[in-house]
Amino acid sequence: MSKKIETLFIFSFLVLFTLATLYPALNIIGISLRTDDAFQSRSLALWTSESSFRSYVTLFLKTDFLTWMKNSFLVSFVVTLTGVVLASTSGYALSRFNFMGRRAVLSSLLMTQMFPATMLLLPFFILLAKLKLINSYLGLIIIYSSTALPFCIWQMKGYYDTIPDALEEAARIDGCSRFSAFTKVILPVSAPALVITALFSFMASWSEYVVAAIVLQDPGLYTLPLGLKSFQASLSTQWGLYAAGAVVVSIPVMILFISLSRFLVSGLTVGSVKG
Amino acid sequence: MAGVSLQAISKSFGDNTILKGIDVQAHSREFMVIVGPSGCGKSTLLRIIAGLETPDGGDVIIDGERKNDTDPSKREVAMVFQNYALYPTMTVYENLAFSQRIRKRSKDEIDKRVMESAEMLKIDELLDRKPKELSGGQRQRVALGRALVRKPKVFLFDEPLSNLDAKLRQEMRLEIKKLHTQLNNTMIYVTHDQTEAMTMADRICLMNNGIIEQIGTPEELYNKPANTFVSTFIGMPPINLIDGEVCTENGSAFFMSDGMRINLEKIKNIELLKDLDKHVIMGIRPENLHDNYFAEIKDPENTIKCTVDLVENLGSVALVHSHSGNTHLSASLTTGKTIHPGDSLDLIVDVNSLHFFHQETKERIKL
Repeated sequence: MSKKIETLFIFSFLVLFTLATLYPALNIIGISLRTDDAFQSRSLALWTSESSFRSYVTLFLKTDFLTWMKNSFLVSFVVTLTGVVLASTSGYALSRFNFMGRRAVLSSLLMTQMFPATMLLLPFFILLAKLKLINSYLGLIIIYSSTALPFCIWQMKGYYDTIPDALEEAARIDGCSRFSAFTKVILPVSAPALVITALFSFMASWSEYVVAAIVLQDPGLYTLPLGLKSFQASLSTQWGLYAAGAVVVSIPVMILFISLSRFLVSGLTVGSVKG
Repeated sequence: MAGVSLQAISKSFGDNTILKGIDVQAHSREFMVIVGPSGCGKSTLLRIIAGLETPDGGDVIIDGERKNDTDPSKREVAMVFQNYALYPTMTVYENLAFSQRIRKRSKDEIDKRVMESAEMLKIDELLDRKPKELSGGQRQRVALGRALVRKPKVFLFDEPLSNLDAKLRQEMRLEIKKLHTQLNNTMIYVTHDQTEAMTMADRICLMNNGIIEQIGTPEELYNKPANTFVSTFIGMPPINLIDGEVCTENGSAFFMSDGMRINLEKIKNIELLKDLDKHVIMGIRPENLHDNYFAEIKDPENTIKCTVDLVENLGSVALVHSHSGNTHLSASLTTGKTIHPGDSLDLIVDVNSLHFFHQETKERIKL
């Protein structure tokens, strides 16, 4: 009996949180399909007699949404690539080599995570202004990469620590150089960690608003979050467009998650060494 | 084929000295087993030959060439690891072919080599499987196969059987020995298991605390152990070591210990023993003690009266732990009669199989 009550309790808890998660998502889809006036509606119906895809059509045809999307893709792609390349290599060095300053590097990487991002805005702005990187993607990419990297390096290092040294030693005896043992044997085994790194780097740049708002001032350079914010004027906000934009913005992230989730499996090293 | 020569190899990790000037040579086509207790430096020595560790001093010579600064990939050695170290994302075929693909051999050549090795090790049915789909024994075969495909100058084995169960270990022991006969390559095999060393080696190099205690054939180490450490390490069940004195009575030499008096006159060159300091350690292997009850020739002068403490029945023989006075004795006896703890037992000492060691240096007294 107590087991049944426990199961009931667990399921009620899960249902509650699922609803709490789904409600905003469904709500925003509903808003994107209604006319602007229906923003305050309390109806949960996704499709009403008033509904149409008008907001989506306007979004793609009458705004700069596609330009913002292109900009966001460009920035996120470069940040993801930088994150994966730098985190996978530096994480490996920190995991496998014992060099002077290794512990200091690891601690300082961890320390950077202790500051809230907003606290770093002013120093970032001054730094970029001095480097004349305000209003450039390079400035934005540098900031996104530098804020995402410490986490990515730590988690790559943590994953490499779980891979036995014997694996790359076997590869080296089989004829690999240190680098090719890394690329041919260690990297394929590290797929789950690489996926997490890629997703984290992508997410850190794709949906970021605050930093983008101080770095990018030219509307032609806007990324998606900045573009969406521009629908919000001081007197009126185009909620339909805003919601349609938000829905479209979340689609690439969902595709990325679903397509990469097959790599997120545990136990890739199973069978490699005696467990 | 290539021989391996290690000259004055030393290695420390921090303050911990692992190898203290090792000199050893594995001859061409020889099966050399490096054996020793955990932490004696045997695996480090193997890793130095492979190039996975750099020695602090000394030279590694493979096939007449100094290889200290040669990358592991270019030493032409293959190594089988204790924990298999198979590439988990690759199939068995890809694991075997990996070294050949790195060397950019043709597809046909790779196919030929992989199939040859797979058939030799009877893993040709497993080529499409991933390591995680294999049993421990199959994984170890694949690890062996990966070394075979290389056709290296020297095979290195780092405790390859220690993760297998007893039955499989025995099978693989035979298999590796057969491979050596077939391939006729130089093989250096590291283990902590003296049975593996005794059954597989052409020559054994016995290490302890970073030094070599003795190098020789299994027979030499068993019959003429250089010191008490070698005598206890080699041989299962272990040798009985008894502190005592050599006394002369009426011109005859006797070994005297608590509860024990053995006439040594039958030993060749016993005069040498008489001239030495009379305090010695006598070693007698359990298999050189016989039950007086079954003995065809009785030897009352060299019979020890014991009381049985414990009996371990091993099937064909029973390992009988007993004591005479304060001296503990283990005897390996054929199981002709049932022996119980508390029984009294008359053990005949095979005098010609006795070993004597200096009490201070623990070195063998050569008679």
